[in-house]
Amino acid sequence: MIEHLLLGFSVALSPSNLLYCLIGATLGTFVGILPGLSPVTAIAMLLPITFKMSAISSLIMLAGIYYGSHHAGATTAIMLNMPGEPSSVVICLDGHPMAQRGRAGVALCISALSSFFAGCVSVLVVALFSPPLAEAALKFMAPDYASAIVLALVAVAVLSGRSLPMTISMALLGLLLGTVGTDVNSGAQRFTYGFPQLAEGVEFVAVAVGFFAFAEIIAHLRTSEVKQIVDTRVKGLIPTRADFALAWKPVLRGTLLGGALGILPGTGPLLSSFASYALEKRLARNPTRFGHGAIEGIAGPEAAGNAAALTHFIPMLTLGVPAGATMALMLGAMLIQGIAPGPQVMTQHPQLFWGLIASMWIGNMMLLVLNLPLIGIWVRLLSIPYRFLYPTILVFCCVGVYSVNNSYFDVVLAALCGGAGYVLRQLGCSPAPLVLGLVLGPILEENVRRSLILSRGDLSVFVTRPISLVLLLLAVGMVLTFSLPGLLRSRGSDPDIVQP
Amino acid sequence: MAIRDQKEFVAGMLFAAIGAAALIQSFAYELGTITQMGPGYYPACIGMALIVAGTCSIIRAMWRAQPDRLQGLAWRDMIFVLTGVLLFAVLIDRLGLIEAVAALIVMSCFGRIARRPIEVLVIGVALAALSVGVFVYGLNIPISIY
Repeated sequence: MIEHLLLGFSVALSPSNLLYCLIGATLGTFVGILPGLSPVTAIAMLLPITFKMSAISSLIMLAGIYYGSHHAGATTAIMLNMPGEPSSVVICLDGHPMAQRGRAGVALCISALSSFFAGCVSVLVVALFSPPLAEAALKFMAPDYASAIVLALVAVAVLSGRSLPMTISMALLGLLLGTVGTDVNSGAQRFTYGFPQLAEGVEFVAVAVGFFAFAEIIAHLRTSEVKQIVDTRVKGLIPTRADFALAWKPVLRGTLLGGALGILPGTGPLLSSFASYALEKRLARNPTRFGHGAIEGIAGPEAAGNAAALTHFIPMLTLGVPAGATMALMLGAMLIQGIAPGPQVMTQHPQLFWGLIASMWIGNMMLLVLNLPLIGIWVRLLSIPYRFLYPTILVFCCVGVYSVNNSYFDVVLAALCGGAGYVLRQLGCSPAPLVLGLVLGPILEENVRRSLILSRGDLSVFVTRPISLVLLLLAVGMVLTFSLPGLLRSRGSDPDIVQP
Repeated sequence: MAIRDQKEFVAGMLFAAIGAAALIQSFAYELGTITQMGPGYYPACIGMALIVAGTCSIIRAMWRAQPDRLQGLAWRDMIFVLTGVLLFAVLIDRLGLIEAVAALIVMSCFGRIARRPIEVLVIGVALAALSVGVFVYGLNIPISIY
């Protein structure tokens, strides 16, 4: 493994990749601080640009945006009681009271350090666990892949919203959109209605931009601007020994919890941070301190959230199955570069894989610098009114989508998806299962077909193969667990999801 | 029986309708058999699943205790933003990036033009310049500028 890490660092430490890492981390922090912009939107917006970059640089940058935004959301949560990211909601509970008592600096410092620690450990976890997982994944045959995809879709659906039939419907809709185009096996044109631009299928970037960026903008246009008097002076960054004594165990627990939960499809930083908060409250000697400035309430969730954000990459990098909407976009980025995701990525493109892992570690370090000393600048950014922001997003998205295929058709498509996405949003449907369905649909069809051909039409192949059976049982288990009404009320939703 | 969860009800109807449409359309493509799937097989299955899921949503909406009334859609915002994007699509090939960006800004900031024309103008000019700089010069994307 050492040679692998050395290879990774040699790739990640090249000047251009360092720059892209910095850009990604900075953009991520920017996106995380501003409440009107979500990391999914930013990644969708930048996907077309990655076309011109090398594969590793684009993944480094996009990854930086992803985990960078999770760090930054805590800043606004602490300073303004306003989470920059859904996963930072839980940080408001104890972070803001600390700020109100003049301990904002300490809160920020502990949250940054917890994130950093969790990040370092998680990078190691990713480095350690990915190769054996990829090797195990090589044993996957067509039915196993099909079941893995079903599990991923079910998991995202289950955790995406309040109604399982609706989220499953969104996933199915995504699968349906994925069938548009030329059928590989027969050459027949499905759902193209004479449009030659649809022969290759629906352009994924256009759909992603439409459903995430455009729909979000339409929904947010009416939101009143939040004008806060921001006290940008943050004094006293260094926590006391007592603070560290209280914080270190939650950080460890959070890292473990988040690291484990992040690997599972569907879950992510949001669920992990909530789970960590609940755990710390349960384990604390004096739970009444929670909600009034308990350091454990920041340290644990921050660690959990960042750990989950990093281990979230594992299923995508090893199996080629994205664990959530953001990962689906990353998969899209790899497909744009002509890299077929799957267990062979590690062997065929080792610089890509290990370079990405190394850069995650570097990115975490950069974020430590970005989040602490430069905090004043970021907080000042909060005063950018949305009315300057959204036209910028619109322009970048439009030009970006156009530039993928030099096709105005894609822009039209994005507009249609924007409209549809907005309507569906207002009806309470989140776009993440759809995007996942779109990306995974063709692969699912391929694998199902292959399975049935090999088994000569025997459907039981999906339950007789052990791996496939386990995956399907997990999917059923998730459906059953989360369908119980009591759990429905208390669970939150995945951060990759845009809330209506 | 009053439908309390209106949102899910409408969503369910929508999904069921889409599923039915997909199912009907896939009959036009060859269905084939399970071992020799024609192009229509997979979409037909998805269509059927959508109908089932949509129906589940409808049923759920009818007995759910928590009301969730339909909120209005922000029609004006939607029309302005999307028209802006569509204008962009139309203009970018026929004219160029600058005209397309200008049209996009005008449409998406339409509500403000009367009140704050200078602000819109500044945004338009800045974004046009920025997009030309980043996309045409920075990334060498072949788009005609005007």
